Amino acid sequence: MSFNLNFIALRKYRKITQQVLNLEADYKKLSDNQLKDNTRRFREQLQKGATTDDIVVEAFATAREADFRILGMRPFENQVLGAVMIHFGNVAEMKTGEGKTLTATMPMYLNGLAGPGAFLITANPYLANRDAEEIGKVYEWLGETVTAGVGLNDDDKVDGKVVYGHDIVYTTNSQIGFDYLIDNLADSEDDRKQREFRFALIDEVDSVLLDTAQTPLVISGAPKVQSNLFMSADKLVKSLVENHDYEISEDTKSSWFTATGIEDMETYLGISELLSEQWSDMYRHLVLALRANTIMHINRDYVVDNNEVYLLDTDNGRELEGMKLEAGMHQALEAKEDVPLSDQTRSMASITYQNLFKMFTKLSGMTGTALTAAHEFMETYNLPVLPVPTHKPNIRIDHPDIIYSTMENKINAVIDLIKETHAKKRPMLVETGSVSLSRLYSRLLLREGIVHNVLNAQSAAKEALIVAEAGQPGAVTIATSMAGRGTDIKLGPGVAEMGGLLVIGTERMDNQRIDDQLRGRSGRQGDPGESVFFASLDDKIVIENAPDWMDDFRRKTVAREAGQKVVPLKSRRVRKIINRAQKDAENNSESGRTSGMEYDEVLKTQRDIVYAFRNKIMKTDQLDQQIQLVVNYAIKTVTKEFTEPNKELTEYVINNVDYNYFNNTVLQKRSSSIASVEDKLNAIVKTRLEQRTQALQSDFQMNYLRRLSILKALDTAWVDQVDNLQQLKSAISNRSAGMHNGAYEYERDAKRSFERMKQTFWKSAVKNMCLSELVPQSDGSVKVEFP
Amino acid sequence: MTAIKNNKILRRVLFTVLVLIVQELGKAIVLPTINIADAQASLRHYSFYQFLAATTGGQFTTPTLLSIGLAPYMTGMILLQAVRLLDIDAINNMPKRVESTVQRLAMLVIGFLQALQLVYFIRKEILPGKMIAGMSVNFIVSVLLLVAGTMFVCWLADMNSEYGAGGLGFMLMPSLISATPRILMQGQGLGTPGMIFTPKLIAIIAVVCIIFVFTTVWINKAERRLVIKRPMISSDFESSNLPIRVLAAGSMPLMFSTSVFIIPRYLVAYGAKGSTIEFVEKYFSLDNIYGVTGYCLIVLLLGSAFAFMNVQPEQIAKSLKKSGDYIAGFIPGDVTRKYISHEVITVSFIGNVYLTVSCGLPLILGLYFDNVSNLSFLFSNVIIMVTILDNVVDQFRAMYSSQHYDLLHPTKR
Repeated sequence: MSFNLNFIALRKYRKITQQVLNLEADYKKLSDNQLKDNTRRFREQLQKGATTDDIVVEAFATAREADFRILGMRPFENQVLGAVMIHFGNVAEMKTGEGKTLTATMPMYLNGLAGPGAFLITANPYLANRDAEEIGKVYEWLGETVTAGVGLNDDDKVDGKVVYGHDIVYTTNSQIGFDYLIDNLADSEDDRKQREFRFALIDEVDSVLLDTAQTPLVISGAPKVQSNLFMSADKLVKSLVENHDYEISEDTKSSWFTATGIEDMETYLGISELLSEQWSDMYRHLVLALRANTIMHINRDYVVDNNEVYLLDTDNGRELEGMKLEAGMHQALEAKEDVPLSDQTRSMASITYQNLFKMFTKLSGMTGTALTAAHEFMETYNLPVLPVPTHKPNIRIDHPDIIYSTMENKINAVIDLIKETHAKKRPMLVETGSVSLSRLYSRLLLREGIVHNVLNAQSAAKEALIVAEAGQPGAVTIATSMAGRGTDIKLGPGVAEMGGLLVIGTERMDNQRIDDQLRGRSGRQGDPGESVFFASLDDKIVIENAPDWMDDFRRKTVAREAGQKVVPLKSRRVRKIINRAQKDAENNSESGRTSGMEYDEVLKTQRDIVYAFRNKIMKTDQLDQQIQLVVNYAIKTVTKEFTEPNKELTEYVINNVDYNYFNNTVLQKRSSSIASVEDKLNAIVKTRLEQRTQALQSDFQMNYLRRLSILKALDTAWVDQVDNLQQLKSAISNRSAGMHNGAYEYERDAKRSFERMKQTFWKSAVKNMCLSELVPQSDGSVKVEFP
Repeated sequence: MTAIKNNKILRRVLFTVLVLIVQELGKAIVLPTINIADAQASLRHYSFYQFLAATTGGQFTTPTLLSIGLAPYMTGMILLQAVRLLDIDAINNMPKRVESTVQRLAMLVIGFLQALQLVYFIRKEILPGKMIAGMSVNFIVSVLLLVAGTMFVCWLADMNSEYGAGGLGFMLMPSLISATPRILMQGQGLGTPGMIFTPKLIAIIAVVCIIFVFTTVWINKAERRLVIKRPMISSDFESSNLPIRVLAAGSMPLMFSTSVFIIPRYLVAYGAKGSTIEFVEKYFSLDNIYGVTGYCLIVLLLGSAFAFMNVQPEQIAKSLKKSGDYIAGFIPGDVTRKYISHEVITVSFIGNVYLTVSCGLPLILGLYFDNVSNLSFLFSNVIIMVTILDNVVDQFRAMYSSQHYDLLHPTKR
């Protein structure tokens, strides 16, 4: 297993750690200025050709001493070990409360010495800003520049160019991803913000690289024409009867119409053959409406806020800003909730987190829970996972799960436990599976008269404050799984004697790691603590993942319990069911991530080519050669499409080359062959381009216009291609049924589609160059208007 | 060297060449615990056994390390697919890693059984040596060596799929090619007469073969496309389709037809009454109309079975239903499943008939004319090779196209 090979690396890291610790005495004696001067010295060495590995011992010792002088905390031995692991491109598994934030200072300092390009990626904007400010003091004192790359609130605008000019940037994964995609929509070199992707340290790396990596990052725009069938489809579907007209699958993840349902709908609509080609659009809307009404649940998958539908992050119940479901699904939800329909948009640019982070020269991470996913880190990112021993031994008591047959029994048991614990004034952290469940528990606690806090992902800053108080006597905090991550829960007076913080999980989450993270909130730094998980056979994870015979089993168990006092289920079989269900959910997520990655490979190849081409165009002064080729092939493509060359030639010229074209002699001569049509068109276009060149005042303006024409043409064509490929990806998975290799077919079709995109690009580029207008503005600048 | 590093195709081809070399070397390592010369003589009695080995990458003329070849791998794969047809939830939801572990275990078991069987056939030729608990140590060692050999070659096949070109199929090519001349001349020990070669005959065979290759390539590409409508996708880009290949069963019926045909002989070799042996020899031989008809029926049956295993109409109909997709004009669910099954039967029938005629016709003609029977085996091998190579060519095409993107020039087709 991975450990045995990492053993050698661990020995090396321990040696380096020892060397760093040995320097402590000497560095304590250095004056402030001497310490700061080290930075200059290191920078010189790096410039002369040394690598960061050469100076790691001294640099870490410097940062360690600086941490003490600025923050009052000197990193412990295990924190230095973690830092060394991180610097050499590993994932350091450090349990919660071990001080990961402080550990990060050492590798960040070292890797920031070479200039801009060192990033610390964290889970949310609040943490990025908080750490950039507090921890950033150390880097600044030592002579580096540091800033947060993302605004604290959603409305805060951040100047990207300034941000990415800093040595060290604290930012979120979505922010850096979006900035990358937007950079590649830029019009000129000056507009680009990002520079090198040299080093990334990812905090909560399992959440960023694995959990959120399931959904690729997509920029949407380019609205499509709206359809008006959504409302009527929704009305019709709402009138249908479950099990008669439609069925829902056991795992509640899909639903479909029955034969009767289709008949009933046909009667209602007064048509026959709903499934025929003729009515496919109507049927499409009906399918969307059915899924919206049966599979998507309010307050679990989405919320309605401000007359708009917002998607919820299933992990932590947060509202996902700006994310919409594709292909009309979002509009179907809006119809269901009777809010105004928003525009349907297309994907304009996309990248998976896997491919985004693979672009870094060096990648590393830290988290409390990585070993269970070690193989996936290795396979996808080539990141080994190494455990860091805790500073003080862990004395938390983890109880085995308490399982009930129904949700109701479980909830009652949870409330009883809360009442019992609260009576002793012992603090509790209660984790729920969704926003609506949080609200349910909150209402129940109110009824019992127990004062409590609810963290429902509204504001990360407020959450951090609430979470920090969660260890005080009498505190009861209800939260969804990701809420308040990154903030330590310190125990208040007298709590340790009571056994520390009690963590109650009200259901098992989608994978083991999230459960472990919850447990890890208690018992930090050798504090006493306790954790216990509840589960029921009605839980979402069981229903979605357990085998078919579960239904019967549940019913029989409930029947057996009728009339008796409710007790937890003790059988091993039940325990195994719950564990299996979680394992299955984990495996599904993993294969979802892997297949998402395979398909992005094709898109990545094309994306890299397009982005590289864009960069070249932006940097080149003389575009004559490229323009020549583009014009050539555009004309070839166009003439090939003509069915009646002589007639269509005029049409084409007037619409694409020159609105006012008037040269009858050229056009009236009938062409005998394709070649001569091509020649004619070539001549016309050439003349036109020369005319325009002369009309412009300067070479500079002409180059600017041409560059912009090409870029705009490419961007529009590429946007369509991205959208096409997104759709194709889902479509292609059906084809593997024919024994042709699915991935190869996708690549073939993607390539064909790319060819078509090229042709569109050439044609638009020519059109842009011939027809775009330069409109002088009142402030002296010139705006370009495209046809 | 950098050229090799950068050229994906070249890398893959070189890797496959390496794999093939290793495989050929392994085939030459004879088992040290057997008297080779005598074993070879012994094995000649089981000549019907040879063909199974040839189509699955092994060889049974001489007991070597890699004698068992890839048969356990392929059988394991088929068994797993057949089990999938049963549509049991526990199996459907098996994660990939567990699935592959199960497959490996199946391979191990099958390989062990085959090793036992081969060593049993040549038990008299095992070199005498120490005994443990009543069993000859050499016997045990022989079995273990054979099992190790087959697991090794299965691993090679996996490596070839991942880093080389052509995957599993390509590794069967050497043994297919080398077996063909022998089979042509001697038949498979199932009662077909040997062939006498004249230059005229060779010329005719060559021409027929070439024509045959072309027809096979053409039929291999033929498919019926069922149009799938996808409500969840709102692009009027390219319609989606579900292809049902004419050769839905691939060439697998031919790979396993002989092995199924020889099952009676095989069981009989373990010691049965004289009259049973006679019965088997009479009706399960290719020198009379009963045997030939039986053989053709087997090919037809295997064809239908494999077609269903490859397409899995039940699974497809289920997944279409769940994702909201449908075939225009057919209610999702049972109705769609029946339609797909119907299409599979009709379309694959053509393919199966082609397979049956290709190997059946020469046999039937061979009952009346000389020098025709063994052509059946030649055609079988050709079909197998064509289907394998078709796959490899597809793979190469995809690899080539992925390396040649250029925004300023159209791509040469």
